[in-house]
Amino acid sequence: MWFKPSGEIPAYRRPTKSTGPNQVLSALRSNAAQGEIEILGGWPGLCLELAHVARKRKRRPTNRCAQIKIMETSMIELLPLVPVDSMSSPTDNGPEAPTSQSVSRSPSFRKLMSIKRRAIAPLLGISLMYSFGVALLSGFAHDVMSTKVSGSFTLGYLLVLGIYGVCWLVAIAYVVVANRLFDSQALCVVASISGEAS
Amino acid sequence: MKLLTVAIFVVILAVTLLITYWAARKTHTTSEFYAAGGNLSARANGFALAGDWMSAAAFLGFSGLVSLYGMDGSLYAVAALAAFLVVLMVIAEPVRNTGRFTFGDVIAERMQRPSARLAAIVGTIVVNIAYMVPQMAGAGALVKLLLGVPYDIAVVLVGVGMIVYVLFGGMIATTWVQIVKAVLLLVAATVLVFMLLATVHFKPLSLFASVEKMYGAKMLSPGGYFNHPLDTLSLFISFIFGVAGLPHIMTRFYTVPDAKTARKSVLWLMFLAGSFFMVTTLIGLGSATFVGQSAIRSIDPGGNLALPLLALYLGGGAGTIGGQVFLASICAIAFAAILAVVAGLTLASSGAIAHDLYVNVIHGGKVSEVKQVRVARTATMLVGVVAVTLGLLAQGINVGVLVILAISVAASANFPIIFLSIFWRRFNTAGVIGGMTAGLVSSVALAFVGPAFMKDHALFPIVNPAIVSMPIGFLGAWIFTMLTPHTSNNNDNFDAFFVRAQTGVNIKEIAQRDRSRNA
Repeated sequence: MWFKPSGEIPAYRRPTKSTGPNQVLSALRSNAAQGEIEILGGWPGLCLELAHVARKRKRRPTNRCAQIKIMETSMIELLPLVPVDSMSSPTDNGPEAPTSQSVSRSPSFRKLMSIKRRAIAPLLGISLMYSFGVALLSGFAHDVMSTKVSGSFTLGYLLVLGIYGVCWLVAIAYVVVANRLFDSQALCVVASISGEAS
Repeated sequence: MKLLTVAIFVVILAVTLLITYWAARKTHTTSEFYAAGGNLSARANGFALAGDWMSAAAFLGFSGLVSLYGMDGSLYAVAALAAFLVVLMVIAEPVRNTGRFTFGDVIAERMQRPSARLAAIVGTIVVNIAYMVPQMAGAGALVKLLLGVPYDIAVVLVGVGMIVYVLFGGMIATTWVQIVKAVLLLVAATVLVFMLLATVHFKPLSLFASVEKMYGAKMLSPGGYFNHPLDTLSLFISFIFGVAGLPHIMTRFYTVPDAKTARKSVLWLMFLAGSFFMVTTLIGLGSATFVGQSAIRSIDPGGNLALPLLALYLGGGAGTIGGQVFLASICAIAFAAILAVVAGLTLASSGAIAHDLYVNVIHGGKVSEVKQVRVARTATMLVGVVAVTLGLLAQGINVGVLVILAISVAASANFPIIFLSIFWRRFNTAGVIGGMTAGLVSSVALAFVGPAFMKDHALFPIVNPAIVSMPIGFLGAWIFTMLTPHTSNNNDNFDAFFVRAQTGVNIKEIAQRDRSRNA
C-alpha cells in the first residue's frame, strides 16, 4: 500500500506525453505551479510516475518549495493513471494564466538570476582571468615564464599546470553550487508562477 | 606488420558497425535520430563529449606540437580544456533548455523568425565543413602512411564509414562510437604514459631535464611555435569562446534529459579530456627525448606522428613485435578517432540541412515525422558526399588554415549570436544576421591573409584571427540590432526565451495548454 493522501485527492492533470522522467517531472511541476496539486506524497496515478523519477535520480530529491517527496519504489503498485477531472481549475475563476513577462519579473525568478550571477561571475571571472593572464605572460614575458622553479621545470609550466587545476576546481565548484541551488530555485520559480500571476 | 595493422583496423571497424546495427533498430523517430531520444546519462554523454573533443588533431597534434616546439604545444592543449569553462557555465544549460536538435533551434526559439534560423544554418555548415575537411585529410595521410593505401581510397573509406554510422544509426550510433573511441583512446594514453614513466623511473621531471639538455632551454619557455606576442592570447580566446559556438558540441546537450545532466556531462568531459590533454605534454617531451625531433620531422614535418613513433619506441622499437602491436593499435585508434569525430560533424550538419533548412525554413515545420527522418537521411548522404569530395580535393593542400577557420568562425560568428540571444533583451533578427555576417567575413578574411595561409608574407600577423574577428562579430550584431526598432513582440519573445533558458519551463506551452483545456 502507499501513503494515504492527506485530505482529498487533488485534481491531477495527466501529462500529455509521459515519455520520460523529465517530461513527467516537468508536467508535475507545472501542475504544482497551477496550484492544483501539492506534491507531498503518493497518490494513485501519481506515484507510478514519481517512481520513475526516483529510480532515475536514485536519491530522494526533496525541495522545500515544491515539496516533492518521492516515496520508496518498493511501495509502488502498478495502477493505471487516474486522471481526475479538474475540480477547480485555476484558470476558470482563479488567477490568470502566467505570462512570460510576469514570470521573468517575479521575485523568485529574480532570485534565481541573482544566485546564478553571484555563482557564475566570480567562478568564470577568476578562471578566465587566470587563463588569459597566463596567455599574456607567455606572449610578452618570456623571461618570467622561463624562470626555473625546480631543476629544468620552469615557472611557465607551473602556471600551465595551474590552469588545469583552476579549470577543474572551478568546474567542480560550479556543478556543486548549481546542483544545490539552481535547480531548487528553478522549481521555486515554477511553483510560484500561479501566485505571481494573480 | 601490415597484416597486423589491417587486423586491428578491421576489428575496430567491425565493433563500430555492430554498434550501428544495434542502434539502427532503435532509431525510428527524429528525436532518436538527432538526439538519441534525449535519455543519455551524464556519464555516457560525458564520454561521448570527450570523444568528440579528443579528435585526431588533439590526439596526434598536441603531442606533436609539444615534441617540436615545447611549451607552446602545452599551451595549445590546456586551451582546449579551458574552452569548456564557458560551455559549462554559460552555454550548456540554456542550449539544453531551449533547443531540440540543432544550434538553429536555439536561435529560432529566441527570434521566432526563419531568417534568424538561416543565419545559424550558415554558421553550422561553414564551421562543420571547415572542421571536417582537415580530419578527412588527416585520415587519408594516416592510412596512407600505415597501410600504403592510396590517399583517395582512405578518404573514401572514412566517408563511407561516417555515412553508414549516421545514416543507419543516427545519434545513438554516433554516441556509442564516440564512447568506444574515447575509452580506447584513454586506455591507450594511460598505457603509453605508464610505459613512458616506467622508462624514466617515474620521475617525470627528468623528461624536462633531458629535453632541455638536448634542445636547449627554449623548449621549456613559450615562443617556440607562436611568433607574435598576441598569438597565445588569441588562441585562448578562439578556443574559450569558439568551443561554445561549435554546433556539434551543442548537439550533444540535446541527448540528455535535463540541464542538470548536461552540466554533469561537461564535468565528465573536463576530467576525461583534461587529463588526456595534460599527458600530451609528457608524451610530447618523451618523444622528443626518445625518438628525437629530426626523426619526427623526417616522417611528418608537422610532428603529427610523434605519438605513434613514441609508441613504437616504447613497445620495443621498429621490427619488434611489441613495437608493431603498439604502433598498429595507436594508429587504428587514431583512425577510429577521426571516424567518430566526422560522424558527429556529419550528424550536426545534416541536422542543419534537414531539420533547420528543409523542415523549418522551407516547410514551416509542417512535415510528417516519417518524412523528417527520411529527409535527415538524405541530408546525411549529401553532407557525406560533399565532405568526401572536399577531402579528396584537399590532398596536398595546406589544410591547417581550415582548422583555424573552424574555431575562429565559431568564436566570431556563432558565439556572439548565441550569447546575445540568451542574454540581451534588445537583440533581434537583424542583429543575428549582422553578427553572423560580420563574424564570418572577418574571420575568413583574416585567416586567409594570416600566417597560416600566406606564411611569411602574411598581411595579418596573428595566426588565430579571433582576437580581432570576435569583437567585429559582436560589433556587427550590436550595430544591426540598433539599426532596427525594438518591438514589444521581441520583448515578449525574450521573456519567454529567457525564463525557459534559465529554468527549463516553457511558459508559452503551459499557457497554450491552459487555453486549449478551457476552450
